[in-house]
Order: sequence, then C-alpha cells, then structure tokens
Amino acid sequence: MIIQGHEIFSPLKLKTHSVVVGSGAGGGVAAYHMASAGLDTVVLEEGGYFQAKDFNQREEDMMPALYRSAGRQMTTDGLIYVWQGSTFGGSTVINTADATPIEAEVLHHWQQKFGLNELTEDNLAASYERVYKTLNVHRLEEKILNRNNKVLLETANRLGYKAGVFNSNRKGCIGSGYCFQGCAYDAKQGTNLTYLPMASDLGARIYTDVRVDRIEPISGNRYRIHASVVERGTRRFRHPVEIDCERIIMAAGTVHTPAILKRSGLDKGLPQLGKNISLQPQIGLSATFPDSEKMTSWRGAPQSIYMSEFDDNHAEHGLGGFRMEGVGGMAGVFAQFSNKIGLDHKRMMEQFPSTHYSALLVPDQPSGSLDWEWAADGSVKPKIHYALTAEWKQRFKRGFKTAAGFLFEAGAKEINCNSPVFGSITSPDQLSRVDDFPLEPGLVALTSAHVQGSCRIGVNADQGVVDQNLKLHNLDNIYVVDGSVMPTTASTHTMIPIMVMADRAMHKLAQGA
Amino acid sequence: MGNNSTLPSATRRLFLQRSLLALGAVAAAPAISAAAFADTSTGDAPALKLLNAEDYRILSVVTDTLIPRDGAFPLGALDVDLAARIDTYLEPEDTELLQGLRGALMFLEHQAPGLIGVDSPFSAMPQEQRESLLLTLRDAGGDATAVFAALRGISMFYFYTDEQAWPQFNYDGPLVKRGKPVYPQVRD
Repeated sequence: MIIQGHEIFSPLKLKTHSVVVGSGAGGGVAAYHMASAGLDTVVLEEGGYFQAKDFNQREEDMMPALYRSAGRQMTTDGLIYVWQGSTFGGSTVINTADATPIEAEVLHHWQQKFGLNELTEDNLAASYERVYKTLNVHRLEEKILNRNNKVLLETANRLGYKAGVFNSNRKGCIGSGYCFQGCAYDAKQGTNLTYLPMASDLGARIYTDVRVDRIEPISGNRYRIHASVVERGTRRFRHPVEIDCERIIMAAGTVHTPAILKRSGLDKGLPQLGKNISLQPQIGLSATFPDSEKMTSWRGAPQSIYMSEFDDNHAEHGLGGFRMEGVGGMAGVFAQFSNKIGLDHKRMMEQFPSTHYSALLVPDQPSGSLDWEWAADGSVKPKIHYALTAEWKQRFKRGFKTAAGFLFEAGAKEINCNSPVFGSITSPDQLSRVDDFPLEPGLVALTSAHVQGSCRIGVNADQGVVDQNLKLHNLDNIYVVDGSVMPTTASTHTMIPIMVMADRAMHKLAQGA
Repeated sequence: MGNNSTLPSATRRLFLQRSLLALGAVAAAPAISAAAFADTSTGDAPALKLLNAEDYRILSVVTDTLIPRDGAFPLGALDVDLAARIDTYLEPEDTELLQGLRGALMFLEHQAPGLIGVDSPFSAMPQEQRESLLLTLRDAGGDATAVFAALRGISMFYFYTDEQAWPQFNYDGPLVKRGKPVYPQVRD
C-alpha cells in the first residue's frame, strides 16, 4: 500500500515491527526483505510519489520534483553540486541505470585497510544474483547506443584503449534519452518499479511526503520515530507522525541518515559519524565536432559507454585514476558550458546536434565531513565540508588534458567545460592551459552524483559507525543500508553496490541469521 | 578588485550556487507570452510573481546582452521574455536567493559600469558596451565574476530549456509532450 502525504489529514500514530527510512536503492531492498520475512513494515519517504505519467523530460520541472533541494545541494564552499534523488525510489529514479559492481580492488582495499574480511566477492555473490535478477541487469542493447557515446568506444578501440558498454537495469527501453529526469516509459528498473511494489504486495505500507525528524529510544529496546507529513513541493510541515517500532533501517542517504542519528542523540560512541565523505567529483566536458558528425546527445541511453584506460584501481587505495563516460539529455545544463556570451555563445549552441558531451570522473579518497543545523520545523540544513586535495587536483588536470586530447583524436574541433571563465580549447597544442585550470568555487561547477561514507562500515566503533552486517555499533536493532556505509568509493556508479550490500545484510537479518 | 567588499553576502551565495535558479524552483505559473513583450524591450513589466518592475527591467537587459537577437539564429532572450520566465521559477520561500539575485542586478546596474569608467547605468549602455562590461566582469575575478557567472547561468538555462528556443539550435526536445507534474493541493 502506498499512502501519499496529501491523503493524510490529521496527526498519525502507528505501531509496527520495522521502519525503513528512505525508499531508494538501500531502502527499497530493505523494505522488500523485511516484508518478505512476514514482518509488519512501514517505509517513510520524504519525497513525493511520482509515476511515469508525471515525468515530462524537462530539467526545469523534474529537478525540483525529484532531486534533493531541487538539485541545488552543494558543498559549503559552493564548488561541488551534490546530486541526490528525493522521491519515491530515491536516486534510482534519476540515475542513468548503469549497473556496475563493487570493484574487486575496492573490496581488497577494504579488507586490507579496514579489516572487512566478511565483504568478499564470494560472500556477496548471492546478493548480486538476487539484485541483478530483480533489476533485469544486462548489457545495454546496441539499438539504444547513441553516437555521443559510441564515439568514445570507437576512438578507444582505434587507440587501443580500454572501453566498454555498461550493464544496465532497463526493460524495454526505447532510448528516449532523459534518464536524469525520471523514466517516462517505466523502462528504468529503479526501486520504484521493483522492490517497493514487491514490498507493498507483501503488505508493507509505504508513506511518501513524510520526513523523519528524530528517533527516541523507549522502553523495552524499542524506538519511537518522530516524523512530519510535509507538503509536496514546499515540504512545509503539515502533521506530526509517531511510530513505535522494534527495528529501524536507515536509508535516507549519506547526507541525511547521519543527520537523523545526530539529532536523535544516537551518535554517542560513534566518533566516525558524519566523517569520511567521498564525492567522486566529476566535470562535464563538451566537444564540438564538424557539422556532418551528428552526436544527438539527447537521444539514446545517455550514459552507456565508458573509456576506462586510465582507471588506476588497486588494493592499496581502491579506485584511482580517472575515466570518461558519455552523458546527455540536459540541454539547459549543457548550455552553461564554456565562457562565451552573446553571438559567440549562440554560434556554439547552433552546433548542439554535433556536440559531444561526456563526464570526466575522478575518484577521490574520503576526506569530507558533515554537520547540520535544524530549522524550527525540524527540517535539516546539511553542511557538506569538502576540500579537494593537491593530489586530486593534479590527477584532475592530467585527466582533463588526457580527455581533451582523446576528444581531439576523435575529431573534435573545440572543447569546453562547465566553467564560466575557462576559455575554449581549440587545438591539442593548447592543452597546457589546463595546468592553470581554475579549480575554485564559482570558477567551475563540479558535480557529485555518488556521495558516500558518513556512516562507514568498521570493525569497531572507533573505525566505523556500522558493523559488517550494517548494524549500528552502539545500538541494537538500528541498521544503515544506504551509500553512507561505504568506507571508500565503491564503484563509478553506486546503485548496485548499495543494493548488494543492503541485500546481504537484510537477507541475513530476514533469515534470522 | 575594489568591488569585493560591496556585494551583499546573499549575492555571494548566489554566485556560489549560480545554477540555483537554473536547476531549481517549481514553477507555479506558466511563462508569460513572449509576443506581447517582444517588441517593447524594457517597457512595461508583465504580471510578475516575485521580481519587482525594476528587477525585471534590468534582468531583461541582462538577458538581452547575454542572448541577443540574430546571429546564428534569430531568436533572442527578449523574444521569449526570458526575465519573466525566470520569475516564474522563483519560489517565495527562497528569500536568500531572491536577495542574491537582486544584489547581483543592483551591482551590475549601478556599480559595475564604474569598473570600466562609465557613469551611466548598465541598462542605459549600448549593447556592445554592455557585452564588453560583462566580459570584463568574467575576467575580473572575485565578486565581479560571481555576478557574471550567476546571471549567465540562470539566463542560459532558462532560455535553452524554453521550447520556443529548441528549433533555433536544432534540438527537437523531449519525446513526451506534457506539462509540469501536478502537486496535490491540500487543505488542512
């Protein structure tokens, strides 16, 4: 059963066994496992309930509807946008349906550095099998690969570089091209179409437009959740909600899960809470090709091919290096690329169909932290503190030059990026300008789509917030199953890693292990 | 730059979040028809949601400078009444953002011309000089660049997401033709 906030007209009091806070990758999986175990389960999602018929494929409408803070959530210095979904299905609704596993080197890194010996490929294998089956993970079909992405693969093949086509959780995709705005055709198999309906069919009650404010331990090893029904859009408070339960599974995302724990005073004895943030920052690049070479970046699977020659993944540091991936379907965002204005900018935009767009992803080491302020109505104002390291900046510049050189090799005439001050690069002999690239707030807009790490797994409370079964170190019956548990960046796309980790822990819990 | 201490803090935040408006805010009203405004340039303001007439007047000139008519394609910001479109996407709850936008417009109108030794307000300058001033701000650093980046980001986003602009840059747009999602109206 799905109950939307506007269907609630008075204060609400409930009793249940398990409450899942959040309905994205981790929350959806958790809800399904709890419900399948026959446990009375309630899911609370702050965002609204939207369906395919609501998705109009327009950035200016869908980002306010589906993204946390309308897509405006940023690091405190304003350098990096931190995109997260905030809707029924969470980020699984707004991602590009790329299904990548936790890299083997990352698991080895976690084992070596953090002693996480239970998180092995063998121990996760059954979870991959379950998740992949539920999400229909398969290699993307050739028919929906567009020229914008294929140019990466063809150029890589010509140069002898590693590249490939993503696996994806789609079903019947027609390649309309607007994954970032939610799938208008129900092809993307997010939790909104898979785990949540499955949980609902098993009896779970899923409330949307309900924000969890705090958790109160009550007698008998039980908890009371204090929440608020909020108005869709403005998220203004409407009615209070109280839910008494035995078990809480936090899946509100890396930014908001620790906020709820902190406000509840449950952070005592958890020194790592809110620390160790990874963002995997990326920058958008555009490359204008001759008019005859149509990229049509807005049709087809937007992020379907990667060039991974410069991945540098090792057990010593996890993910490293840098990589390129095609992107598309965001004309408004892409129009902000370059430093041009006036007629020069119009000339550039006239070449939109023959312009290639890609993202340069540069993995980072966990170095950020969170703190929070709360408004009088209980809503949280997160602060994401994050500073680029000197090593990352060097790697970024090397990656930028390599990516630009790669695009010239592919036939590009001009390369721009999401900086309002950095001028176009029009030939390979200008690549040295990247050495002076302005990596400063306001001079470039970096983006993170994979914030992780605020409640990382650790073998004890000094090392992490949760154990290897994702239970809080300091309390019984509270679990965390979202991206916050990742000790370092798990993969270039984090939906599958979150789901697999959640599946392993929740399957065990549901089986009574 | 001598301008670094002259901007209100909200304007600096607007800079740091220069795509705020571009990426955000739920529209509550349809964009006002461009036709009525197209030929009047900075004449009478249409019904506005949050901007006042002066904000609107200056923002119209800014958008006209950033996205003028003609060149690679005929349509310009004034033809779609871009300032009014931006206004529809502002939200009353976002007071900081609105203050930031106002601060940026006031800085550009009244203080920025002094950076190139011009006494008249930005909106009274000829197009070529306005563009030159914006490029000066772009390259100046500090708050001057903040204002440039903020106003450019907003303008480009809302112009190129306007379906009137799509044919101009050979973009055929979304496959589905739908309005904005309807949020349930609740009366407690």
